[in-house]
Amino acid sequence: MSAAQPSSRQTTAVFDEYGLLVRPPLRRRALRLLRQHPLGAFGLLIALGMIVLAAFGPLISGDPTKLSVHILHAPSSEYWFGTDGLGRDYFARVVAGARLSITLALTAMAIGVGFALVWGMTTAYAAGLFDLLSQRVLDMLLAFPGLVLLLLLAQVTGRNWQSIALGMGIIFMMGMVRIVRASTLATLSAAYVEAARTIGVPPFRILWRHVLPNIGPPLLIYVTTLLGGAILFEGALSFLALGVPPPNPSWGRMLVESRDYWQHTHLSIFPGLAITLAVLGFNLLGDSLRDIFDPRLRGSS
Amino acid sequence: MRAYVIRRLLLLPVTVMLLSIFAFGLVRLVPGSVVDARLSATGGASAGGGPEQRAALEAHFGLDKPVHVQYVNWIGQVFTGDFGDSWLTRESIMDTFARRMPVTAQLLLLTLALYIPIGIGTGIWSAVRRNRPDDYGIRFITMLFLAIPNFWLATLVVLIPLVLWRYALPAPYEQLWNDPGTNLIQMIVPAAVAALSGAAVLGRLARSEMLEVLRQDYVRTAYAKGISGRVIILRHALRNAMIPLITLIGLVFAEGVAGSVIVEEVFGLPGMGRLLVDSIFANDLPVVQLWMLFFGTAFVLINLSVDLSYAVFDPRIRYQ
Repeated sequence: MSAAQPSSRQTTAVFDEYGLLVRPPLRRRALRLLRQHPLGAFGLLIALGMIVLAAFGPLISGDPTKLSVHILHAPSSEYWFGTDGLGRDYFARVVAGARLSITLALTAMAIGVGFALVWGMTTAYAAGLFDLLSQRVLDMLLAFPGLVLLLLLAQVTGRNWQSIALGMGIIFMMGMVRIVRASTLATLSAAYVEAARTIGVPPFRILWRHVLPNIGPPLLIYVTTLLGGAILFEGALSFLALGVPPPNPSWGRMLVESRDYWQHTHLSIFPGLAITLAVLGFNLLGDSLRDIFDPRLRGSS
Repeated sequence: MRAYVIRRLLLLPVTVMLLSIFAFGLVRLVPGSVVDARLSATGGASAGGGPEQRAALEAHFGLDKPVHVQYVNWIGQVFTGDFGDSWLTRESIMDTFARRMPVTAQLLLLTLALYIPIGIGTGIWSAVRRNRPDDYGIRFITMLFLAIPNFWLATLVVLIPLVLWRYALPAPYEQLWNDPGTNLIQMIVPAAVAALSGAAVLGRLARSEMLEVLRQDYVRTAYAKGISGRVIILRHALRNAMIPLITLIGLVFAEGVAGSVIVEEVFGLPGMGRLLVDSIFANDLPVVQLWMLFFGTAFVLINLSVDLSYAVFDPRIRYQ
């Protein structure tokens, strides 16, 4: 993305009567960011598109569970993505798959962020034995591959989407706790926090007013890239038949079911494309967010 | 340095104990027990003789004792080398592991043999040729492979030869020492799928590490001295970029195990990954419990040796 950098230097700075830099209005700043990060803009477009599909998809594409006599039709103008072994419209099913993936990803992320903020800030603020122990617990859990832990957690919590979201949230929490803890420790050693402590500001207020705003950007970047990971996890879980049970369409389960109809290639292609596109979108968005918030790393990946 | 090594070694038993408690605890939380499964299989619960049969079965599996007693019993058994039997097949878990471990070990070795050179090679190539067409090409392919799920890639790898040429990989699984030719064909394709998915992650990290090193003062000094670009990259930059890459070994191993769960399922290989999925499916708790303890300890040991070797290789790092 560094190819776009020269254009940022050409923007003329505006100064007010005191010689201070005037920030351009929000809308212009947003447009400039989108121009400077075309891949990020593309990612944002896909991400927003996926969220819109998740919210309103079935209204646009029709009922994904309606059976018909048109069994295993190839893609045509009537059935854009063809039909599956039960004559269901595959386009409607692929679109409806977005709802499960996106809902799971966003819910898991909300759970993970919530837990991670509480745990990370507490352990950084408390320090001492509690910090040491919680670090060891995290080390141990992070040593496991996420998919393996998720398989186990999903078995404990059950196989409805809320339970799987909880399991995923717990797994995503573990990486986030480290980020929250590191940012909290960095902020707590800053001079202004020391000043606040000296004048007797209570801990909770320090965490809320001073620490939380500093955690925001690194956490936001991490969360965006994890959203792609959440979609892959949901797919893998459903693919192993340990995900959300039918009839809710899931991209991973559609792929596993397509293996019984290998002559009908459209059944294996569209769900895979949908996952790839969704993950690509969130990854591109996350990369650009990192470039914007952490210029030191610009172009490093 | 010595204090750091001693402290890490002292913490090792603590971590492994936490691990065993975690494995045991998580497995206990799974709803539904083997007793219910056995009773419904034999029709015992409906046949009226329920309570006695249930009590007998619970005593047989040691489930009648309090949880902490069960835990201590289990740890005691593991320490004396008795890993228990599967609830599903009633086979000794040790025998199951011994039969399945070579499959996964071979798969992991093949995967890593493809994955590490591809990942590190493309990452460094792309960093050295930064912002040239080949860098953009590599980054594009990397982005694509980060997004393509390994289970879809595996499905396509099975599907495409089948549709185009009616070709399927030989089945069932053959052991290496029985039929090396068939075995290698059966293994190399899944390994390549797992390696391609993982190499994208590794390549990205390798690229950013290399870029970090290329920014260092000693690289600039080397250029200023008039040393040729190739010597700088091979002698100065690459050697230093390898050090942070050591920290990725733990991640590489964990990724490999996660990948093997998927590819063993798709390609029908009777390895440890498939054992985990099957055991979770069948609520075969002793197997799941031991699987976690086994691989968990392996992950912890690998991460420990990575941390220690890192301290040896990079003397700039001072551990308190």
